[in-house]
Formats: sequence, C-alpha cells, structure tokens
Amino acid sequence: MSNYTLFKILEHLRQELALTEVKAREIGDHFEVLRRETESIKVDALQNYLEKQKKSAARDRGIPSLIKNRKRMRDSLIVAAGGFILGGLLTRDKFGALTAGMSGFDGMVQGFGESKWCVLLGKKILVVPEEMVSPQVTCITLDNLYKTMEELKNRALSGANLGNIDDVISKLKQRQD
Amino acid sequence: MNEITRTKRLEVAHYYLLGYTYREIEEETGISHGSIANIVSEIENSALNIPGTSFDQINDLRQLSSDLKKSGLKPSQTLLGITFLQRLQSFQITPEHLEAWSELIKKLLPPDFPVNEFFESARRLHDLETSQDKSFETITEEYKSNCQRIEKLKGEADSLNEAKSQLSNEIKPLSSQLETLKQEKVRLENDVQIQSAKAQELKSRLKEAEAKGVRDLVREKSILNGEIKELEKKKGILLGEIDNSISSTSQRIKAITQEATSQIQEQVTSIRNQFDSLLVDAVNTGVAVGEMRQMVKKGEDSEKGLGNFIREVRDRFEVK
Repeated sequence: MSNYTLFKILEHLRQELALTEVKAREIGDHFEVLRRETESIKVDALQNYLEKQKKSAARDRGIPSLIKNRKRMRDSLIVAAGGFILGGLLTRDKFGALTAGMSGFDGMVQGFGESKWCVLLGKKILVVPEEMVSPQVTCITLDNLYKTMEELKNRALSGANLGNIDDVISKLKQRQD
Repeated sequence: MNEITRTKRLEVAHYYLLGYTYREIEEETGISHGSIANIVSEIENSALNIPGTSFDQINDLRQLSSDLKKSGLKPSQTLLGITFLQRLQSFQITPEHLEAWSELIKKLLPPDFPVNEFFESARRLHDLETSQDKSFETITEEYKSNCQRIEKLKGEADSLNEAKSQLSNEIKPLSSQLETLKQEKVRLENDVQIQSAKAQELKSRLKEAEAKGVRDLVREKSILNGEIKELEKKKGILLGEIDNSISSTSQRIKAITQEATSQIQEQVTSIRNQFDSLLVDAVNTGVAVGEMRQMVKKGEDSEKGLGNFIREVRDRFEVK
C-alpha cells in the first residue's frame, strides 16, 4: 500500500469519525429535547385531567341550574340548535352537525355551573367549587395551580426531571407554600 | 686281608656279581681263594659297600649273572631279548603265547619265503586301502573292470592307429603345401622387414616433426607467458578500478540508504501522528456515541416514566 493511499484512508476515517461524532451529538441532543418535552407532557397530562375534572364538576353543577331556570333551558336549546344548523351548514354532515350542536349545548350547561375552583391534592385529586370546601381544609385554587404548573413545565423544558406523580404533587405544594 | 686294596676288593666284588667262580676270580685278579672268600663274606655282611648297588640286590644280581652264564648269553644279548619281548607285548603277544605264535609263523612262512617283500607288499596294500578308503575286494573289482576298459581302449587305439596311418598318407601332399607356405612366409617376413625399416624411418621422421612441434610450442608458450603477464598487469589495474568503483558505489548506496531511512522515519512519524490524531478523533467519537447512548437511555426511561405518570394520574383522578 502506498503512503498516499494510506494517508487518504486515514483522512477518510477521520472524516467518518468526525461525521459520526456530529451525528451522535445531534441524536443525543434530539433525545434530550424529547426527554424534556416528555417531562413537560407530564404537566400537560395533569393539567388535562384537572380540566376534565373541572368540566365534569361544572356539568354536574350546571344541569340542576338549567332545570330550575326555564329561560336558561330555552337559551341552551337555541344555542344547541344554532350550533347544529351551523355545523350542518359548515360540514354538510349530520353527525358533524349533531356534534357541533351537542358541544354548544354542553358548553352552555358548563357555563351555568361555572364557579371558582379549588384543587385538593390528596390520595385522590379532586377539583371542587371553592364554596364547597370547608374553611378548615387547605386547598389550592385552580388558577394558582395552573400558574405553578406552568413554571414547573418551564423547568421541565429546561431539563429538570419531574419524577412520578407524588414528586410532582410535592413540588406543586412546595411552590404554593 | 689288610694288604688287599679297596680297588682290588671291588674288582673281586665286580667279578663275583658277574657270576664268576672263585677259581675264575682268582685267575682274573690273582688273589688267593681264601682272600676271595673273605671278600665275598664282607660283601654278604655288608662290610664292603659296592657303589651303585644296594645290599639286597647283590644275591639277585649274582644269581642272574650265573643263569645268563649257564645259558651262554651276555647281558647285552639279554637286553636285546628284553627289548624284543617288549615289542611283542606291544603287539599283544605275551610270553605264554610266544610259542604258539612262533609255530604259526613257521607254518605261514616257509624258509625261502621273501619276508621283506611280503611285509612290504602287505604294507603297500594297507596303505592303498587306507588312501583309497576301499577294501581290497573293491579295489580288485575296480581293477578288473579297468582291465576290461583297457582292452576295449586298446581296440579303439588300434582303430585310431589305422586312421593315423591313413591320415599320414594324406598328410604327405599337405606337407608339400606346408613347405610352399613356409617359403611364402619367408618371403612375407622379408617384406615385413622392409616395411619395418620403412616404419622405423617414418617413426624417426615423426620424432623429428614432434621435436620441431615441441620447439614451436615452447616458443608459443613463451609468447603466451608474456601475454599472460601483460594480461595480469591489466587485471591488476582493472581490479583496482573495480575496487574504487565498488567503494564509490557502496558509499552511494550508503548515502541513498541513509536518505531512504530518514524519509521512512519521517513518513513513519507522519503516519504515527496521523494515527494519534485518528485515535483522538476515535476517542472523541466514542465519547459522543456514549453520551448519545446515555441520552437515548434517558429518553427511553422518560418515556416509560411518562406512561407510569399518566397511569398514576388516572388513578388519582375520579373522572365521572
């Protein structure tokens, strides 16, 4: 093998190694980004469940109010029908129109049950209206919790490891304190 | 008695032992009868010692001498007889068989029988049997058969003699031819002599030519020796030139080798540096790959953690 060929092979190897190093670092960085986003998704997931819990509670509170108040019932049905028609016009689909109409009705129902919400972070996580919580029980308002969760999410995106649900709840409580 | 000397007395004793009577001793020695008796008395009483004879043998010797004298025999003849008797005993013929043996000999051998020839013939016959390792009968049979063969051969010889005489008659013309051939041979021998002389002459000429050739060769050899010396001189010069050329070539080779060695060293150093650099790059790449693997592992762990987290969150919430 001539020296020229050897040097050429060595140079080629160096280039390959440099490329491999760059690629490895890029992949590592991508995985790090993914990991951070995965950590932040924990906060999103918690927020999502809290939101669902809140909507469910609002719905529970809105339906009795709707039954008691005929005017509200009529307005809700009008909104549902309007949503149905609008949805039908927009989508030209019966099911799509129905979904749009029901969504509008549900929104109306939830709106009637709207309140200031508190979160109880115990063995079970509960989202309850503030007026239902006795003064002896310490609770966190949902808005404050959301703010705190936003901070936690930023920390996760910065690289912090949030851990399991207990760790997250503990961190949220510390922030509230 | 005292007047008789010892020598005289021993002489008397000698004759006494030979069996001589007193009278005979007296005649031989001249000593008186009485003195002789006294001397004999001394011998018998062992007063006179006879050298070479013991006392107990004296009577036996006297008796033996008397018997021999009576038989008319001398001691030398007795010795001969004893020798003969010993010979006969060696042939297993003892004295008691002696008479019978003598009679047998007389019967076998008449007075005019040629004893010497007989024994010589017997001996030869014995030698013949021993040498041939055959019995007399076998030899006799062979002799007879040989005689018959001889007779037969004689007949053949006669017929051959006849043939010989016939051939002799035939030889005569051949002899004349032989004579002619002999003359021819003489003539040829003369020719050969002439040719030999010519050959001798040629040989001498050849020798001269050889001598001349040798001289020419010697001259050429001297010329060639001169040329060889000249060539050796040239060879010495050429060897010197070759040595110089070899030394300069070896110096050039050495210089080229040194230069090549330094170039190889430089290249080796360069290759080593390249390899070192490559090694550093490989290490860095390995570190990067390791870090990437750690990141991947963390990502995987985070994914699993997210799944668990969502399950835990779901368990914590009582969604209606």
